[in-house]
Amino acid sequence: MLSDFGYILLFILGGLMFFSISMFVAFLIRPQRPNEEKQTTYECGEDPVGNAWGRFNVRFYVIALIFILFDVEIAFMFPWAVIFADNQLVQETQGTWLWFVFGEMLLFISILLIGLIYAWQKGFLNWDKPIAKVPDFKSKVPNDLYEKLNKEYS
Amino acid sequence: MDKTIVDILQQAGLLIAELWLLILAVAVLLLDVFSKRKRGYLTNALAIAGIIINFYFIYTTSQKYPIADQATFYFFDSLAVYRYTYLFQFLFNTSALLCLCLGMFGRDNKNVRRGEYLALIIFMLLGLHLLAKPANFLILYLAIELISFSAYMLTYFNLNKWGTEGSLKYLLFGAFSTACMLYGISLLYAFTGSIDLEALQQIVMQTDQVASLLIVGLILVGLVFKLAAFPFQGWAPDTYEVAPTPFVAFLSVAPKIGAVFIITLIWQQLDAINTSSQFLYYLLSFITLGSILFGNLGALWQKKAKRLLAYSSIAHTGFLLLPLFNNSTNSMEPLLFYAFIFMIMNTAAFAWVYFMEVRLKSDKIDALSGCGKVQPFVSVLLLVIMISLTGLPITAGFTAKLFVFSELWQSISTTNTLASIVFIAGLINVLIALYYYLKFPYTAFFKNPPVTTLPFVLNVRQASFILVMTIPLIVFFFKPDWLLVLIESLS
Repeated sequence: MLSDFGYILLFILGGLMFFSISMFVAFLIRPQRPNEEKQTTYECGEDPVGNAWGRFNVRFYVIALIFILFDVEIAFMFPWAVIFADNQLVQETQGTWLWFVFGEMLLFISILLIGLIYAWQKGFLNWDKPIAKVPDFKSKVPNDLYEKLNKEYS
Repeated sequence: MDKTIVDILQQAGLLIAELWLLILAVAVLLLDVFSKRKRGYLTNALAIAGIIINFYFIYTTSQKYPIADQATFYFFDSLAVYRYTYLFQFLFNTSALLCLCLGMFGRDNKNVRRGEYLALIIFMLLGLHLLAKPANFLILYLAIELISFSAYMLTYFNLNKWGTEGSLKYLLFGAFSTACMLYGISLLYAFTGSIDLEALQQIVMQTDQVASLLIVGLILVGLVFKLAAFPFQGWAPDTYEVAPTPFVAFLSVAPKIGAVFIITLIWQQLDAINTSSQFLYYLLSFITLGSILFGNLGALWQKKAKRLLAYSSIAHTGFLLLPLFNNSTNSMEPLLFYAFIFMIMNTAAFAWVYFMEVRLKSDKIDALSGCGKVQPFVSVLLLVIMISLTGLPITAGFTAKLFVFSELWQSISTTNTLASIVFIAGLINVLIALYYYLKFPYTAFFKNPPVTTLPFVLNVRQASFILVMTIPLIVFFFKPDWLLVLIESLS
């Protein structure tokens, strides 16, 4: 019989195996055409190295906040799932336990769900794209003048 | 284990008012999202109706879980029904109702996000309801945070850049004070292994003085901040100035009274044991005298009505805390009387400022000039409100201050020499207050407006709102026992 730390060891080994096998398979079947962009560390489309004062697009924050809602939900649901179907508790209470705990979780999720519905309906989930503005400035200087200038100094 | 669940399900009725408020807030949000009309009359009506119905739920709870002289504990000692729990809930509910009614008068950009605004006010009220019955510091902390977070967001609801700045400042100050309070609670837990309110007695009796002072002090930091009392009052004028005025009428009353209630609870815990009480009285006189002095002196220089009223509410905090000097058990009555009157007169004053803002887009006191000649009757109401805030006769503000000071007088004659200093200083401050409160009616009656502008006038609906708020101020001066009977019947 394994001790509790034995389980942890198994999880570590399993994690390592999963990681190395999938990387190995990917290595076998992927086309190998590296370029500079591909060689950088992957960071969700952001530049991985830069100034600490670098700015993130503000639209990420809204998504991140809504994500945190559901992240917290998971943090509550794991311990809940462990005790939900506990046989001893169910038998001791003749099933009241199941309904009580189920109702608790239902209340919790429905409040979060209302938050999601609200954000969705108000359009906070829309990734609004910037409207490209074509400048309507018309220069009085004709283009060939620039080209002449370029030729003269090149 | 079987017993536990049965207990929880049986006691769930205690939370019926809170559950109702939760459902109401969610319903308001959803109605706002899915309704086609964008003006928000419907959501407003729903919120007001819901809060009126909530009075009934408070009533039924008080019938099922009656109050006793001693606190009764529920939910495994996490909630308690104190003697004044339902009374405070009634007060908070009334204040929220007044705030929402006042909000009906504005027709500006706040309607864009009406649902959010209303839902946040209701969430704040929910927090206040929990604040009226905590039995341990965890519930207390959660209630305070629910109030604070709603307040931080509501401060922004003028939807302009000053709102953002003020709300962010408020958030940073608030986070600091909450951190102090949490640190105090964790120290308390480290020393006693308990987070019940009663653990405070244990800490004062068992540990050395420095540790107990540190813990009590740190916990008080969070409460005094919510109270906007002396060492932590700085946020109040800045926040009040930028926040929507109907909300300020709520913010300056309900959380303040809630914090006073919690401080009295802590006081009762500490007062039961007499070892360190001398120090506590020094602390209390520091807080009360500081608030009264700072509030009054700060208000003297203000040109803007909202900032002036913010300082005045700091001063009133000091007066609210004065009855704590008397450690006899019945000292809650003057405090409650003061709280009721303070709610009415403060809401009336902020209502006046709000009507100025709606019409003139400014809250400069000078804008009132000439008002007294055009609308003498309404301006007399302003005079009554301001006299009541000062605490002079024929208004209930006088009666409230009389009760508070006579309570203080008793404690001078029985025990405390410190109280006499506070007594005299408090009386002098009433005179200082007279100067800046009378600025309002003085400007209205004696100053002439610039020839280019018309004097400020209230329309009939606004004037009747002010009238309804002013009548109790005069009635309770002649018949203070009516209000005392109300307080008695609820406690």
